[in-house]
Amino acid sequence: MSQPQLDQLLRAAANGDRTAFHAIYNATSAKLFGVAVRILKRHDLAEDVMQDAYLKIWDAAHSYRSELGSPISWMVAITRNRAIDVLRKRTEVALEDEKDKGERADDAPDPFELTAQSRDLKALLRCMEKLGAKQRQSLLMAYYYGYTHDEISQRLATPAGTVKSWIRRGLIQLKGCLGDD
Amino acid sequence: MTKQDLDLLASEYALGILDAGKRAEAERLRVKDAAFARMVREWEQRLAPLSEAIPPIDPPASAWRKIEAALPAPAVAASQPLPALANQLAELKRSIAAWRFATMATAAAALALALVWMGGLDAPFRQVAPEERYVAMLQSNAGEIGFVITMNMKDKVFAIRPVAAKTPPAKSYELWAMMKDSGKAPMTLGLVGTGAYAMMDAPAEIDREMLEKGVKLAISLEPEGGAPAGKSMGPIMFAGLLMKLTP
Repeated sequence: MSQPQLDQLLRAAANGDRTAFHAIYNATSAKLFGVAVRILKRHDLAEDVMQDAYLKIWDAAHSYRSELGSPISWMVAITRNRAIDVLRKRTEVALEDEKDKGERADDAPDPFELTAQSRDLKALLRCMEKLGAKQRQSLLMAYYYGYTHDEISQRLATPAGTVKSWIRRGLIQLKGCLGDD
Repeated sequence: MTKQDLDLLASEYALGILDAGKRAEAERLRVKDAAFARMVREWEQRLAPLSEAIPPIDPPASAWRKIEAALPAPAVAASQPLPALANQLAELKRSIAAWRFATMATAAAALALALVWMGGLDAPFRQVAPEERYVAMLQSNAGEIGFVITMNMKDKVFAIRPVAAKTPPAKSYELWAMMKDSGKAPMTLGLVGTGAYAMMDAPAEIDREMLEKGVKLAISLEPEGGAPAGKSMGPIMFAGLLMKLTP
């Protein structure tokens, strides 16, 4: 579904149109569920998060502004934020089994390997290529797994302070690089 | 905090790297500081393309029902969100009723009329070249138009507009596509409501060749929640051929 179609459906949903909202759900739920599963690893937790996310989308549809970004990026962010909140509330121990299962190397998303990349993704990856390999890796680990500085520091056997400055410098560089386009 | 500090916090929050304490702090700030909220939104937008690499996963079929049940009860006014559209469609229906005993020529005229109406209704369709636009008038046996469905072949999407149809209690309307001479069983496109317009993706199988041969859309009356096992059980209530808007 194209962005103008989703825009229009969101406007209808903001007016209380449930049919439009169902159409939004049909077009986006596999994407949002995939995002929630990626971070939480467990389908039951991810389903709860996805439901919360759609209720939030319904409530906030009137405040969505297309000039601040595409509807799908807005919806993905709502879902990721909710998933990361849930992740933070759970102890390391509770999610450990699922994390191990989800962390097989072949399972990690690699945007660089994606055959169909949007224009925005291409621009972002061009900028990410300019970063150091470890720096890039820590950014991707944070985005795809919702890891904290400490978690990345353990996994890369690097001091947390180093990870923190990699991430900060990386984000600043990305912003500068994307602004140059 | 300086503007740079705020932007950095927004970027780390949007990335999802902050621990529980810092994250809660950023969330509080997001609620009370509009400038910070905007920085977060900009960062979410910058990073969002990364989500393209996350494989989609179909949620359980029960998930939508739970969400729908948790939505607040609709206000009376909200059940008619697009009165202008409803009025225009009522007008369209009256106009077409006038062509009721149509010859081929007047059927084409009715379609041309539909083109005019549709063109003024729906921005995403207006941007599509006329030869990419198809329409189906779904009529009952009595000749009543229940739904008008337009298809934008470019984006492969249907827009479904209920005209006069009302879903009977404890039943659902389900939309099917039947391809002439394909030997295939009718394909379900999903449930359709009668409250307001909706959009759904057209099946990938529908291509120009199929449309030339003839694709019929039909709406059947099914048990609430749709036909079990994807096979229509109920009677066909409305049906019509998908036709190109321009000859």
